Amino acid sequence: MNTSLGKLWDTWGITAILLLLLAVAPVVTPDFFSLDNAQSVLRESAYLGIVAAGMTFAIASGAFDLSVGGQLALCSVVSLMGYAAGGTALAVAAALATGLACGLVNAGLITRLRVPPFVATLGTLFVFRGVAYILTQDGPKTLPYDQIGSPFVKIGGLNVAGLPLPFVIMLAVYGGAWVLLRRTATGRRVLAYGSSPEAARFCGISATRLRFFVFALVGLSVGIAALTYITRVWTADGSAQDGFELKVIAAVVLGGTSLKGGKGTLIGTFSAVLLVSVLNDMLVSQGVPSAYQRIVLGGVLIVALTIDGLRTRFAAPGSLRRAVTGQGGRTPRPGLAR
Amino acid sequence: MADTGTPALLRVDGLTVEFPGVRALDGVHFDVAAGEVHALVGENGAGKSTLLKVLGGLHRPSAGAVTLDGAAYRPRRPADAVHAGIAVIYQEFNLYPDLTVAENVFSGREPVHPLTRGIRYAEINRRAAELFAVLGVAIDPTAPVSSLTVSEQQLVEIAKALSVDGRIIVMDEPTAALSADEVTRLLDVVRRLRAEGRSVIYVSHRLDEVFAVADRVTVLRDGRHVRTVPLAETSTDELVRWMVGRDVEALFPRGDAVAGDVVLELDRVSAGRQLREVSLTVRAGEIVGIGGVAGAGQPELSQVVFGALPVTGGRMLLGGAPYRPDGPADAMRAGIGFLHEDRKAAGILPDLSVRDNLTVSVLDKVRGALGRLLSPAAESGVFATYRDRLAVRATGPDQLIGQLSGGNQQKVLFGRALAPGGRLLILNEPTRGVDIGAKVEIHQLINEITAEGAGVIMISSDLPELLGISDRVYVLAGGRVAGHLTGADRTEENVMTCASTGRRIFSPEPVS
Amino acid sequence: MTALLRRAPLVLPLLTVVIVLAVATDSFLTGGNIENVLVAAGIVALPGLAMTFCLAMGEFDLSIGSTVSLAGVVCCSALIAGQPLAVALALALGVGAVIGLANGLVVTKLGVTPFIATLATLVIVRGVSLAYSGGHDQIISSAGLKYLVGGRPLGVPMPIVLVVAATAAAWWAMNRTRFGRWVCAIGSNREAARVSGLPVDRIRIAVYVLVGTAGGAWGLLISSQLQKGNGQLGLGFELDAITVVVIGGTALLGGRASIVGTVLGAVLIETIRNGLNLLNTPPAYQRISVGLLLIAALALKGLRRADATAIATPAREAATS
Repeated sequence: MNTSLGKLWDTWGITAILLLLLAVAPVVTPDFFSLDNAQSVLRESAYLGIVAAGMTFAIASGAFDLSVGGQLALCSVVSLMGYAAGGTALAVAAALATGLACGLVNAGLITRLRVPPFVATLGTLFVFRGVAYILTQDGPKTLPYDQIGSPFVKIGGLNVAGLPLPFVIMLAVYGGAWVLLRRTATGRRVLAYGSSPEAARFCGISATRLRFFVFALVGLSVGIAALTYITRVWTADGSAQDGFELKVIAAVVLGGTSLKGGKGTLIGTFSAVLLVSVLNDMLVSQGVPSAYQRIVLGGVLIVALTIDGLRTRFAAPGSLRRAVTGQGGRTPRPGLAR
Repeated sequence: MADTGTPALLRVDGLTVEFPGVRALDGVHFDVAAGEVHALVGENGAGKSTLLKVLGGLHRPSAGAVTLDGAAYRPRRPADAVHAGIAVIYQEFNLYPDLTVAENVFSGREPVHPLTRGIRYAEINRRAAELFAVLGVAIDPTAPVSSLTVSEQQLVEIAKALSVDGRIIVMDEPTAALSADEVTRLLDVVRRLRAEGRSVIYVSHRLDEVFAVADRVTVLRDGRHVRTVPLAETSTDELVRWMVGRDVEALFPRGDAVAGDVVLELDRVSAGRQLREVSLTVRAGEIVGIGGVAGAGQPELSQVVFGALPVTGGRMLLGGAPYRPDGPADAMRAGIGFLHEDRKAAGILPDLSVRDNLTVSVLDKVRGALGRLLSPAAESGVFATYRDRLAVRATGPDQLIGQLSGGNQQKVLFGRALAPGGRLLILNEPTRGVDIGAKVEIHQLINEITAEGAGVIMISSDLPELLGISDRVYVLAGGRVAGHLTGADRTEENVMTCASTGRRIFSPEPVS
Repeated sequence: MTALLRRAPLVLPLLTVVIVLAVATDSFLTGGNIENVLVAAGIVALPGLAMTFCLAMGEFDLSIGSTVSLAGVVCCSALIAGQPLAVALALALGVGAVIGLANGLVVTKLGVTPFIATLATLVIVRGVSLAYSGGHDQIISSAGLKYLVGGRPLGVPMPIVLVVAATAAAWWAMNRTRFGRWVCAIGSNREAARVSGLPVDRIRIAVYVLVGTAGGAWGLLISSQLQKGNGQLGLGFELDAITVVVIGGTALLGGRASIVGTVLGAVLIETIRNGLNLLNTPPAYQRISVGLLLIAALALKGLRRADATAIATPAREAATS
């Protein structure tokens, strides 16, 4: 493939597919572009999109965070408890602080205890969810209906110039994330580390600090996402958003960020999130049961990964192992690596 | 032993191997008789490894022929070599550390009980023990390979070769990581193999070993055959001359250095077992070369100075002040640049652009008016500066570095190393894998850098380069400084002597 | 004693937990309760044994929880449709084998990272299971299927009989046959395995089929126990299966496997679950305890490895530079 064309496709390919899908959407769903439906799709995409922005950093750095589903449940539950205890301000602070704390726990396990990222976050997925379950033993936490006028509830319900506030928040997150990834030293270091951890070491990049940054960022993004999520569904318990982590990873990979690290495209992630939401909306409007939606999602992911796999087949040996284990970039030397 | 009358067991004729842009082997010919230990020597890049890989079925020759026992030998995969009775023991072993010694020796060929499908452990343990008895060593066949020392792992590889009845056993630098005792033991094993009637192709940098164990020697240089002679008819000096065989002065001009103040001083610095009590100095405007055989501690020395490897003893001074870097970031802040010897694995950031690869070492300095944000203009400025200065040939700042030639990649990495301030540069194998044109450019560049007052530590396994452009040369052996050569003492013979024979040569300190 | 502890390091924590529970509760050390623990351990050890091969190879199969669900749904709906038990059992195991084959092919032929490939399979198979069951319980009443968990040949509960047989077979296969040794060889040094001509891809596919089939068997046991199939069954089971293997001492990056350790790991986990139940802790704590156990087991290994490499690398590095 022509390189510049390939590069263009990496960044904008998914956006092109999204536009194509939007063009046919009204055929399938006649009222697709009605204000109500459009707002609903955008509002629905916000929490997935915000976490996917954080996850783009993790995957670009060559790791992923499987605990985001548990984090989302926990942040939502804690945020609702915060609201009950101290109103909007405490609810917001609780969600953000919980997300950040979850991220720091993950980073600590990975850097200090040297647990490979994906096992660490697989374990914390269950721990975070478990804690959320414990906090909701007496029933799910909910927003009472009489609170409909509170500023907290408005986070999920308000429209700004016709755009749902959650989507506006998502836009702001993507703006900030883009600047962070493309215009700061830290963002560059994330890409450098993901591209070659060993070379990054000799560029003065500290793996420990980088891991802390990335996983804290993912946690923070989940905290923000939880605010848009909880003010939309009004209720949460330990089972909230089961399987969320896969949706997030699917969106990021679909967007063109390579699982082997070193490349991250927020524009691609953004488009992929909208693509998944639009696809979902179309399936729902056609009355496709949620069971089949899972099959479609899994299938889309396999296709995306196969393409990603073919694209990176000639990548350095060991990159695959790195993607799985998150162990540093050094390929274990045959026969002597143990 | 190897009379010309004896029919050759293995004969290599006009062997040529071409890679894109490089001719790694060019019409090489030699032969190995049954029961002969045949040494293969030459400088790095002479083509020894390529030759071994052809014999082992990993590379295919573009021309020439190999005959084994009178029949054409054309291995297409490693298994073919094994079937033909040629066992190549590479420097990177093909062992399973978690499996037992016997399981490794017989992997893929385990005898099994026809009914239970169980591996006959009694049999493989017994047969492995027999093989080790032949080799005259005591290794427990039931021990996991991970519990063995490197030299024992090597013997497992040799036993593997014997277990398939290898007639020709090829060893690539088998003693690179062995202690003196272990070397003696290995040489005994090689003699036993010969006594068994097997042939051994023995590749080594260490000429003393070659003289101790081999019957004949073939010298390669730049992919070409130089000479094959019985060792009884030659000397170390003669071998070294054949291996070097080139007018060094013409290719590497270096004017008289104007050495300034001491930039870096190492005082009995140790790092684990790899570096022991190394003392050296580097002055401003000076190129200090570090030589030695592979595994003598050169990369460790460079990483200690760059803060990438912790110091376990001794002290360092930078510009006269105590210097204890806590990681490469510290070293870079102190104005030290670093070039890794493995450009592909630990040098380039393959997914990033040429510009990003360059500025990654100065991200704190390419910030714009907005304070913490990177400034694309400043980054492009840095890129333009070094592109012009280093004559980097790239289509533009956004081109991925992986698309550049090796020489241009290396220039970008030079820029990365220079950007932090150019007070001291640590260059590991600065011209490895680059073509001759880029090599000359890089040498001129190093000259310019020192003319501007930087101190340079240059590690190179390319002897002519090391001697051609270094003002002084330290030779490492076994992690220690085995020689310090200045002025007229900087000869390839002296470097080889220090590196390979264990003799120590120290030129008198110049009066400063 | 020290030799025993080195070979089976779980004995000590297991004894500790048993003693604590014996003191803290009245009912733990009763015959009926011990049997409950062992039956539960047997049910999770069975897939754990298959998963041991997967981890020994340095890979993972996360899809097993969904396989459990689909196999149960398939078996139950076959029984409801009036099929004989043998057909229902074969269908369930066959479904598991096919899922395993699919995983194996995606991983070897398409080159997708095992971890992600099986994560996707997890979602797809769960979707298939939900769609196939229509989201409802497939309630059955089959004495034959019930026998899988409830039967007592010679007075011994059936799951214990099954797991003893499976453990013996798995131990033999892992430690005494070419298949098991090649699995460890691949996990130990995949490049060397390829270069020395071991049939790497075939072995990998075989292992995924093994795990898939074991997932099918697991589904049968669960359906036997509950007398129903359901698209929601088996949620999070993949973590259980992997955790018993990892805390049992099988190396996460492959190469070394401990069959007995896996069984002990299953007993440890089920003892803790049982104890938490007896102490009236809510189910959520059980989830947390499994997650924490997994992290703790790996953290201990990670720290030990860090120590080991700090000492061991110099000589080894030098050997290859």
